[in-house]
Amino acid sequence: MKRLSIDWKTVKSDVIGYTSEIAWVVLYTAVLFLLTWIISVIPW
Amino acid sequence: MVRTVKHPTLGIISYYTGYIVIGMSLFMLLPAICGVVFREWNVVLDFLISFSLSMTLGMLMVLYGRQARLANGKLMWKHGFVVASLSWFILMFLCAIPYLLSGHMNSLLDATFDVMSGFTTTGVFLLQDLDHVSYGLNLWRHMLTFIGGQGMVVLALSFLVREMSGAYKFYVGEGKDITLVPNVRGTTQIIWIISMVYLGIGTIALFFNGLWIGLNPTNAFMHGLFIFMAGWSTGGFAPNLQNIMYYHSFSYEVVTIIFFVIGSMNFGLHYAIIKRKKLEFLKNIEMQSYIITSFVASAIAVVALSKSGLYTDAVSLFRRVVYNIISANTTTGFGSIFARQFILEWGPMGMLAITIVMLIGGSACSTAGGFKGLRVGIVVKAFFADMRKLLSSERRVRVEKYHHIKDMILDDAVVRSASIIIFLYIIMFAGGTLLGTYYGYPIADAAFEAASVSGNVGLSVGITTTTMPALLKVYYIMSMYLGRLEFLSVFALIGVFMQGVRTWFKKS
Repeated sequence: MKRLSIDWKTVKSDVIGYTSEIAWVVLYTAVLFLLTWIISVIPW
Repeated sequence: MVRTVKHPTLGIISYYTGYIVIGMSLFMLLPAICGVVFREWNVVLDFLISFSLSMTLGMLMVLYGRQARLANGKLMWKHGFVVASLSWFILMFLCAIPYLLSGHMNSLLDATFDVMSGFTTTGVFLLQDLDHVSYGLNLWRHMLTFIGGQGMVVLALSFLVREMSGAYKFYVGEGKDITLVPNVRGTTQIIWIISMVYLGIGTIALFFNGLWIGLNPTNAFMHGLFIFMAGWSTGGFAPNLQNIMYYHSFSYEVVTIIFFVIGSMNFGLHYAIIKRKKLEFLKNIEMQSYIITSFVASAIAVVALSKSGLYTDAVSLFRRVVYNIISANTTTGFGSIFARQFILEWGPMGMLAITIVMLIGGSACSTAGGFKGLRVGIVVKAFFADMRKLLSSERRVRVEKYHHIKDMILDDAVVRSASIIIFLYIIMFAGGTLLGTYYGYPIADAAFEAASVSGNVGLSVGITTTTMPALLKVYYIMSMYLGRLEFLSVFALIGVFMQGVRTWFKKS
């Protein structure tokens, strides 16, 4: 009978992949907030 | 022996459409199970009735088309396009049955409006008394938008039909064109794996956030699931009338922003980043286009509202202005202010910025709508390429390229195709604005709502109500449908229908 095995190398690689995608979008959101803050302190 | 079939085209279309109907009818069992869990017995009954009717129709369609399929009817491009558009059209009615039986809808037209809004990941709705809708029906609303966003035609066919040599035709027919692995079955499986992984991550993140802001565990989980499904699919539905304002939470808004921005990204881009091409996020023409439009539109709207003195601090501006701009640009439609505030407080500059980003939309081959950042990037790049050509030596031959997962050549066919789609979207938007003004709505309101439905966004200034004119409801349904399937499939359906009518007239 074939045993169910987990390829931990692929799992690790995918975890890094998903984390980096989320990290990019978190960075994008942070820059967006920074832009908002910069505009908000300018006396229009 | 080759069998002759009376109507081979109709048979093949009926066969595959039947399987899609069967697939969606199986999904109706999930809200029924949810009804059993929460002891909502009316919901269980509503969904069992809807399941029985849909399953019967699906099986009859498969039986009718089986002979044409067995006669080895070849699957052509027109079949792929027609099956995609026809199944969306039929399912619009079948999936409306639970809505009608629930008693939350005023008419069949309103119910089909909500179903099409879900399928196309738009998010506008005519459902009544949303705050008192059962868990089961809410699950159905959010499932429609989640399944519609990933692509229900290919999902159903990938799992239910064994022989799928022409699957790519269905895939393109449903408005998707990127292949992650050589076969469509593998590609759709990857799309669904990515979506399901994020469904787990997103629901857990929103569940803990919900607990933190004071929701009870059941509500924290169910709201987390619903909001994630609506956010990831850029749908914009919510289980409450106040939409995202219901939660009164900055952290909840930030978490939703992160997931709907990820949801609006191209599945090819997800795959590339997950498979360790991390810099693809910055190199991709589509992301460059999206980042530029979202930053510029946010800046314009923040300046406009900062100048008006309505919001004075960065957190308020981010939560009430930037959140809505990003929600519009990704075509999500989550709103953090009341509908009328756009008209009464945003002013012409803010309204213009949000209307434009609604039309542009998110990424191609994603869950987002609009005419897509990729096409805007291609047209802008072609414009600069032409300018460079004009200014350089006539002898110089230059091959223009753009980066979308890999380097691609910017030829005339690509630019023409992108321009045609943008042109068709603008015509559809203009038609919606015109019809809105015909019924007496101010031009800014009519343009906002037309952009919202054409781009499958879901933000509203208050035109979309159950009392709006029936013709406007029909136009909005058509806009959502055409916008989501990107015209071609619907035109193919109309073409085949007209062909059939002509043949019938000739015979009689």
